[in-house]
Amino acid sequence: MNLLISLIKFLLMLIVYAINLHVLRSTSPHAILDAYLEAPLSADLAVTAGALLIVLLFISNKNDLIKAFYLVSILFCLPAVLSYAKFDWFSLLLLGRFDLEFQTTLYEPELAFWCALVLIGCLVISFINMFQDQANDYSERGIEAREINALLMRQGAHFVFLIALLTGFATLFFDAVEAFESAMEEIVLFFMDDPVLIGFAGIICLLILSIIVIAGSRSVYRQETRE
Amino acid sequence: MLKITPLLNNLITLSIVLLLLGIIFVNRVLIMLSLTPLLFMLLALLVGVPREITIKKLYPQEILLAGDSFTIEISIEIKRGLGTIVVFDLLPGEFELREGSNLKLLWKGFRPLKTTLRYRVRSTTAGYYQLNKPACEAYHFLHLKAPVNKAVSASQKIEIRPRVLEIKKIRDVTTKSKIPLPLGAVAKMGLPTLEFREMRQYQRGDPYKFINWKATARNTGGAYAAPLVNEYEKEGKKTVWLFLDHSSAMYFGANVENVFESALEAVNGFVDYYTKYDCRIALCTFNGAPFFIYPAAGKRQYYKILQELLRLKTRENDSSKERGEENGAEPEKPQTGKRATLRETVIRYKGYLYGNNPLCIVVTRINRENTSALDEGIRELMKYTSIRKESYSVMVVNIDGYDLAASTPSEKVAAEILRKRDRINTGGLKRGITWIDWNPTRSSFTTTLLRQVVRR
Repeated sequence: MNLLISLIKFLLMLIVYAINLHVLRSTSPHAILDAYLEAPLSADLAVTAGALLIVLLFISNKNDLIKAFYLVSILFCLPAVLSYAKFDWFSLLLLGRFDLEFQTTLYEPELAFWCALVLIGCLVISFINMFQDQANDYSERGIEAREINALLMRQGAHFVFLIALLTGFATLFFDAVEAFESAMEEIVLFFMDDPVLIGFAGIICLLILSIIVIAGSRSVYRQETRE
Repeated sequence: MLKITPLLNNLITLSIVLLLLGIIFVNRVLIMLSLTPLLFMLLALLVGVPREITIKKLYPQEILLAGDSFTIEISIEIKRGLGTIVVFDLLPGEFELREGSNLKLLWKGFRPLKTTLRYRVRSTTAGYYQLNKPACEAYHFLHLKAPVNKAVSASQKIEIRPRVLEIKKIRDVTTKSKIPLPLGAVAKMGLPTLEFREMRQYQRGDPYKFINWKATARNTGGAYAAPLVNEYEKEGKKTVWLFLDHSSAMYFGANVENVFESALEAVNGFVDYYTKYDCRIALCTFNGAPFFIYPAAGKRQYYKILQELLRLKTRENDSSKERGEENGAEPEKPQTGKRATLRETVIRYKGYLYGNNPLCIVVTRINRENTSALDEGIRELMKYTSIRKESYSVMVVNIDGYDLAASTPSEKVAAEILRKRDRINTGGLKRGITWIDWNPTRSSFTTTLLRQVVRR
């Protein structure tokens, strides 16, 4: 069972990595890098390095090292995501020293869809790690392997259902975003007429989320202190 | 209010960070991405932690014998929620799990769950135990909500008594036992009671009215076989003194099975056996926390000794003074430094031993270190007992505990070597007394005693 879970995790990592690479290849930094390192060496190098990292993670089977994979995912997706930024902080901060402009060949909803898939993939991998830790913990507590496997199967089935729902929702949302865009445009324009309103709404959202996080952190802290 | 788990905290943080970056960079992609973990959280949080849990435990009977197995049943019912449930029922360390498991992992789906946790436990050591309350931990199926703990409010105290002998008499017409019964001038010469003791061959001076004619007719001993007579218990109380070794050497073995547990079983067996013969029984310990119970007869004395035997397990931790006061037994001042040997103990209580001509039973574990001390003690005991058939009324039960700690073949060989060494060392000790070697791993105490029965 443990081997099967590790195999699923490995396949997922490969898929997420492939999406990452697809997103990266569509960006201008990749093209520049390609040209700088005399293509196609840079692309091959990236694939080999990434694949090696995944193999290393799979062999070591240490969940802490998975953070390196998340970092790779962020680095690969960041240039494409930043290409749709309306405010160019990099040019402002670096005062245009590097004439680097982020560009991508992917459309905005398409990019959002791929990035959402990467995010969901990373979520799934982190939850698989959690399930593995949980199974090890149960095993150390003396629960029979048969019971643990049965639990993992059922828990996994419910989790897969939830992820399928989420992925389906994301696909529908990002596919239909253009269709909804025109309908939403009027609402957005209403807010854009008075930018204070959008700022006010944003601040209220942030305030609510911050209260939830702080209250949650305090309750977690209290629980740990009691333990 | 919803308690936020570390995992939920991470998801919320991720969502906030993406939203903030989206706002800072004025980036719709990041803002849209921040919805993904948010949606995931919302979907997952729609489902609650398993709740409305009912746990019922069926307790065993309150009094059991050491070595008995019993079944514990825990019925669990969960009506709502989705997730994992860990049900556990912690057992005292002296209990051995024989069948099943006291820890169960359950999955609560969308339908109500009703199940039973059943397991068998063996009570290995005598004593008073508090059976723990079963409890359960219910987790959200993705650990996004705080777990719920649930425990049963009632618990039960259980008393595990040492085993008693499975036989009432070990004498027969054709056999005789090497195990002595206590002598006593009054009892020997006293009037016979109505309590049947044994059947034996006629001896000169026996009253004719005691001849069992039917048994004599059935006797196949030949044409000139002597008639058989019924022998009845004599009036008067005979005295048995039990000396229990309470040294650290007696705790040889594992937590669940050690020599001291076997010693308790042997002492309890003797107390039960001689109580049925209406003997006065005294109990005292040596080489450990000193304890003494005055000689007395009857069931009350049996239960008093039994209670003390069960409490002796706590040995050094409990003050013997307190225990003595509670049960009407003579309190002893706790000793500091060297503990009283068998000889010192016998000398201390010699006032009670004089003139009673008691049967003295020493329950111990012989090893190289205590052989000489035990020898001195036995010689001292001989002064207060009488000789019958070239043997003093002293019986030593030596509990061989080496097998309790040996599991591998090499360890068993080592145990055999040590056993042989002890046998050589104790050769001189056995002269003039009744000596019983008991290996608890190989045979029960009853079987060991039955080996002492030989043909007349």
